[in-house]
Amino acid sequence: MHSPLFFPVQLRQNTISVLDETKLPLEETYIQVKTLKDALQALGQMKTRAFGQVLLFFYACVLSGEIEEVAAAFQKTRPTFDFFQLADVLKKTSQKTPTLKEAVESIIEGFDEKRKVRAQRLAEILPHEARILTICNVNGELIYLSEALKGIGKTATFFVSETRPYLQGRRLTLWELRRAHIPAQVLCDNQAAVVMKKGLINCVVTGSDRSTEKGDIINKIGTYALARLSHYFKIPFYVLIQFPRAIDVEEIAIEERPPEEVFMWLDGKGPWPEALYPSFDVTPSEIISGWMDISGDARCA
Amino acid sequence: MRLSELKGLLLLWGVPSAKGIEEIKERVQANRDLYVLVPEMRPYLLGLEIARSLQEEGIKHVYATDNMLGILFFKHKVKEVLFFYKDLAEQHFWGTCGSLYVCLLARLHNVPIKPLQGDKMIRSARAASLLDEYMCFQYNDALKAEDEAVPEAIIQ
Repeated sequence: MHSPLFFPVQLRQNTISVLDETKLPLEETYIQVKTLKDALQALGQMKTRAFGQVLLFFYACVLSGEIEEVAAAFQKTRPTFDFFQLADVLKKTSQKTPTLKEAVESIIEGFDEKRKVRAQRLAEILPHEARILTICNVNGELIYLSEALKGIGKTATFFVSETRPYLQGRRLTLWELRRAHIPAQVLCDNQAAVVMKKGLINCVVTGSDRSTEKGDIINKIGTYALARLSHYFKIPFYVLIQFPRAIDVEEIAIEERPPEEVFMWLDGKGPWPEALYPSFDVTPSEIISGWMDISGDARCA
Repeated sequence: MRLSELKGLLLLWGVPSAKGIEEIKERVQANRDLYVLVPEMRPYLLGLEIARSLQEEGIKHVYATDNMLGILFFKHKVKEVLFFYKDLAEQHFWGTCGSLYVCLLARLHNVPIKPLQGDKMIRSARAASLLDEYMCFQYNDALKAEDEAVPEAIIQ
């Protein structure tokens, strides 16, 4: 049932073991991280992301014994995600524990339990026969969601947008759902409108890299189009959020990655055309139906 | 290329005919700030072939994956859509996979769409990613990619 994506990064003695998500599903391999430089390289090369980058940040703090310095270096490498906020969480927790390592362990232990609670809260509001469109990958939380739905007599079928260019939907989400024997089907990102029009789905669930107290979110590129289209088709759009901040979404830097990465999963060696690669987009709160916070709070529009 | 460098984009969807290429050329010549935006057009990656054609014609263009179109509309980068449809029947334009996605996004952002008769599928287009074959072999669970109908009302 369990996927390595639930905890893709682990600390073993003085080494951080990082699941290389760019190799999945073809290979399940791990990178050994011993220094901050190694950690930044893994982060910058997208070896890990989402929950994995949270874990990598915390463990890099344990290894180096620093928090602010690590946060600044991580923020520079992946500018959209809020590592300074993680630093604040860690600093606060470490005041109550004898060591940084114990502070990190207590955060992570609590975090997984909170993900399960969040999935349960979401399951309560989804339809009885939930046909869920999703994008990118939320590190096993859809498996928790499926279990939560089953626990209250509901069913789940997932439609996974393949999420170009890194194909996280196709490579990670579809893979982990199928391993857990949960019904799932992959679609091209551009098929979202058609699956909505045909009534194949009845809700959308996505994660978020950033969120504001107003309810705007920043998430993987393609999320905004799903929200805009689901709003048009009157299909509820729910987001999983954590640590919303009282800031204007326009103040958040949108990372643009090297254009050559757009072609990395394609056959052939080029030459490739000039390309764009904004890796995130902004979804305004006005077109979001509900927010499921890691704190357990659930809010619907 | 970065988003901030782009002032205006002419978005293509479908396969342009020879006449369509001439029209694109005229637009770009008339507006020096305009770039042609060539989306990938999964699953067949029509965009790769179209980008090559534009390169040969000396038309400046930039490539993006289909899921990047949302942010480009949202940021008002896309000024017009040229929709190269395959057929027109019963008040619907039929176009390649993703046509409804693109036309609806354009409509929802008040971007004009010009429908033009396009060519049929490019012969060399392929359902190409390193994973397509592997994943289909493993699970056979991809949603079938079909031509899509776009109501005339959306385009007008």
